Amino acid sequence: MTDTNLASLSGSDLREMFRAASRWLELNKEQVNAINVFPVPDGDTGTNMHLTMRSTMEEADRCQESEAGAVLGAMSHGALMGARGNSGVILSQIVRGLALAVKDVPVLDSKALAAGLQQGSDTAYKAVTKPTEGTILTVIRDVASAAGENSNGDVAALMAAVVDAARDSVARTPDLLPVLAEAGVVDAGGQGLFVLLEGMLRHLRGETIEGEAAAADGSLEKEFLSVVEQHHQAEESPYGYCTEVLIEGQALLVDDLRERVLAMGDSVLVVGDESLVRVHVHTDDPGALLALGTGAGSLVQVKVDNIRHQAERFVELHQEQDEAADRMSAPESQISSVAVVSGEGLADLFRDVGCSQVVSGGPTMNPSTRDILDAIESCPTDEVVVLPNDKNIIMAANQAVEATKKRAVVVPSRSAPQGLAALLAMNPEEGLDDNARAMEDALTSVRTIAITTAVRSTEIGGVAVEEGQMIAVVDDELKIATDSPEEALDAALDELTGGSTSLITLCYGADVTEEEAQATAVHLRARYTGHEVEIVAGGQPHYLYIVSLE
Amino acid sequence: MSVRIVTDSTADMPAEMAQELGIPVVPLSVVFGEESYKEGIEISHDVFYERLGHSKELPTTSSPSVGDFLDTYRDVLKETDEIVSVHVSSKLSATYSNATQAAAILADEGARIEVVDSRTVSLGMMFMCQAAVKAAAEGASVEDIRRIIDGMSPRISVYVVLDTLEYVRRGGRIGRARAFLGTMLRVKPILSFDGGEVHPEERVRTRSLALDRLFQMVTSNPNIKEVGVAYSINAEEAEALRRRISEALDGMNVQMTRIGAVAGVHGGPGVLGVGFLRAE
Repeated sequence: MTDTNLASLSGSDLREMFRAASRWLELNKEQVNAINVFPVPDGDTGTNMHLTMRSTMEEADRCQESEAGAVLGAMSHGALMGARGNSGVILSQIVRGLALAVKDVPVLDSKALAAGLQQGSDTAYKAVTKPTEGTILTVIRDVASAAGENSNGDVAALMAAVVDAARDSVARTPDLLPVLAEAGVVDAGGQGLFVLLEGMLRHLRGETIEGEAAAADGSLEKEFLSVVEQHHQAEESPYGYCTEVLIEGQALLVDDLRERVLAMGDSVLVVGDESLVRVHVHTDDPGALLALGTGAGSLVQVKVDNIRHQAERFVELHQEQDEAADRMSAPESQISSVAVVSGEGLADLFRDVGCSQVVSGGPTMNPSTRDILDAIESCPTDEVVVLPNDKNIIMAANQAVEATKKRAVVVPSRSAPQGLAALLAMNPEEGLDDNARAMEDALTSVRTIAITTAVRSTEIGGVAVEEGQMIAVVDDELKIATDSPEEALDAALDELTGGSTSLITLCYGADVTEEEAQATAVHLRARYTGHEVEIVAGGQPHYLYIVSLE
Repeated sequence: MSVRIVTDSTADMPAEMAQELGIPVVPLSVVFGEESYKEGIEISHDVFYERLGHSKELPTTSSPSVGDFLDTYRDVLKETDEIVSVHVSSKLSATYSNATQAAAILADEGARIEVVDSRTVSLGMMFMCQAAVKAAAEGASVEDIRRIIDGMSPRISVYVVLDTLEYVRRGGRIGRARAFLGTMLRVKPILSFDGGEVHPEERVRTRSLALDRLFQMVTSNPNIKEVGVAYSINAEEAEALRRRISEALDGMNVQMTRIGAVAGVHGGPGVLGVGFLRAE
C-alpha cells in the first residue's frame, strides 16, 4: 500500500493495516514492557497487547470476506477472545466498538473511521468499572476527538492527526495520574496504543515496518511446540522414542535434512533455516538422528523420551485426574471453579482443594479471554466460579464470563492466597450466588506478601526502588525495597503480624531451592513466635516467595 | 400425670440438667477393643478423651439396645402412661430405630410412647428436650409436644469445627462432607447438621478464623431464641466463644455443654460446636 491519497479502506486494506500495527508493536513491545509502573517482572503490557493483536489477526485471516465491516467483526471476535491483561482487554473493547460502529459498511472512509474510533472510545470507557484518566482510556478518547476533527480529508491525513494526538496524550498521562509522575514514566497501555496507531500510519505511508528484530527463536519455538503437540495427540506411534534435536550450523540444508529424517520414523517435523534447524521425529533409533545432527552441524539441544513410558504415565495421570474428578463431582456438587495459577506446585494445590480447572497464565502470566473461557466450558457443571488471582486478570475473567452461556461469576481474587481462601469457603451444596458471596467475603481473611526482584529503578507510593533490589508487594502495594528476600519478608511481616494472625504459609517459586525455603521457614518460625509456618513448593516464576498471612 | 421426656446421651445434656428436668438419658456406648463403656456412666468424658489420644486403634460406638430402652421406659412408666422419647437423627445412629421397637413392644402393654427423630444432635436435642419438658409441665399432650419438637427441627442449626476429618471419615458418618476430604493443605473443616445429616459448610486455614466463622454463623441470624456452645476438650476456647456470642446478643444466656464420648469417636478431639434455635 503505497498510495498516500487514500479515500477509503477496504476489508483487505484494514487487514493489512492492522497486521502492520501488530508487527510494529511486536518489534517495540519491550520498550512498552519497560515502562510498567510496577517494577515487577510480569504482566507485561506490551506483550499482552501484542498477544491480543495476534489473536485479532488470526481471526482476521480466517475471515474470507472483503467487506470492511465483516473483517472488523472478525477482528473484534479475535481481540475479545485473545485479550490478556487489563490493557489487552481495553484494547479489545476499542476494536469491538470500532466493529460495532461500522458493522455493515463495505469500505471505511474518514467519516466512518472517525465514528468508529469514537464508538471504540465509548465502548472502552463503559467496559471499565472505575475509569481512570491518564491511562489508555484518555489516549483513545483524545484520539477519537482528533479523528472527529480531521474527518474531512483522506484516511492517511486522519491517521496522521490521530497519531499526533496519541503521542501528545501519552506525554500528558503523568500529569493526570500522579503515580506515573512519581515513577517517572508515561502510561504503558497508552504507549502501547500509540505504537499500534503509529504502525498503522507507517503502513498507510508505505514506510517499512520490519526492523532489526527478525522472527526470533522464540516464535519459532512456539509454533514448533504447537505442531508437536498436535502430533502427540494424534494416533499412537509404532515407534519407540520421541526424539527432538536443535541443530546449529552454517548453510544447513533444511529440505535435505527433512528427507533423511522422513526415512527414520514418523511424526516428522523439520523447521528452521540455514543456521538453526529444529527436528522432531518418532523413531526406534534415536542415535541415527543424533549422528545426522552432529554430521550436519552441532547439537544444541537433545531430548529423547520413551513413548511407551509416556503413554503409561499419561494413563496413570488420567486415572488420578478421574479420582479427583469423582471426588469433586460427588453427585451433589452443583458448582465448579476455574482458577488462574502460575507454577506447577501452586496449580496442584488449587486442584487439591477442589478447583476444577486451573488456567496457566502463559508468557506474561496473564491468560487470554479464550483461555479462561475454554476452562469454564470444560468444567463439569453449569455453574462456575472464576478466580483470576491477580488484579490484571479480573477484566479478562469478566469478558470470559460474559461470553459463556453457563452461569458463571467472577470472584475478584487478587492473589493465589486469596484464591485459595475463596476456594476453601466454597460449599459444594450451595448455589452460585450464595457461594459467590461467601467466597468474596473470604478474600479479606488473608494478607498476601509477594517477594520479587525490581526490574527497574523507580519511586512508587513513597518507596524508592533501585533496579535489582528485592521488593515486597503487600496486597498489591509495593511497600518495601531492600537487599535480600529475608529482609523484605521480615519488614513486611513485622508490619502485619501482631494481631490475631497465627499462620504463615511460604510458597516458594521456581528460583528458590527447597533448602533455601526451609532455611527461610526456620528463620520465620524463630522470629514470629505464636505463628506456625508452612512451606509449599509453588514453582511460580518471577516471584521468589508468595507468602500468605492468616 | 404429665408427659415424661426421655432422651439419649448424644443430646450432651449435662447430668445436673437432666436430673433437674427429670429426663432419663439412655446411654450409647463407646467400644475400645473388646470393652464397651456406656458414655457418661461407665466412662467419663475426661477419661474417654484421654484414652482416645493414646489409643492405637480407633474406638467404635454402639447404640442402646432394644432391651436398654425397654428397661428405661418401664422405669418411667411407673410414674406416667405417656412418654415422648427424643433421639439423635436416625441417619446417624440406630438409636431411634431401637427406641421405636421398644415403644412398639410396650404399646401392646398399653403404654403411649411417642418416639421422635430429632433430626439433629447434641445442642439441638438439648433445646428440644428443654422445650418439651416446659410444655409437659404446662399440661401439653403427647401430640402437642410432638408438634412443638417437629416445629423446632427446621429452625435448629448446629455447626462444628473439627481439627481433622479423619475421625468422621473412619466412623463412616462423613456423608456429603466427603467433598472436603483429601487435601495437602492444612485446613479446619466446618460442618453442619441439617435434615439429620452431616453437611460440608466451609474450610478455613486457622482455628481462630474458624471460631470467627462460628461466631458469625450464629450472630448473622436476627432472631435467636436459644443458643449454646459445645466442646470436646478445650474449655477455655469454648468459654471465650460463649462470652463473645453472649455479648453480641445483648447478654443473652448462652448454654454450655461437653461433647460426649460417642460424638468424640466420630469427631475426634478438638471439636467445637455452636447450636441455635431461630424464632418462628
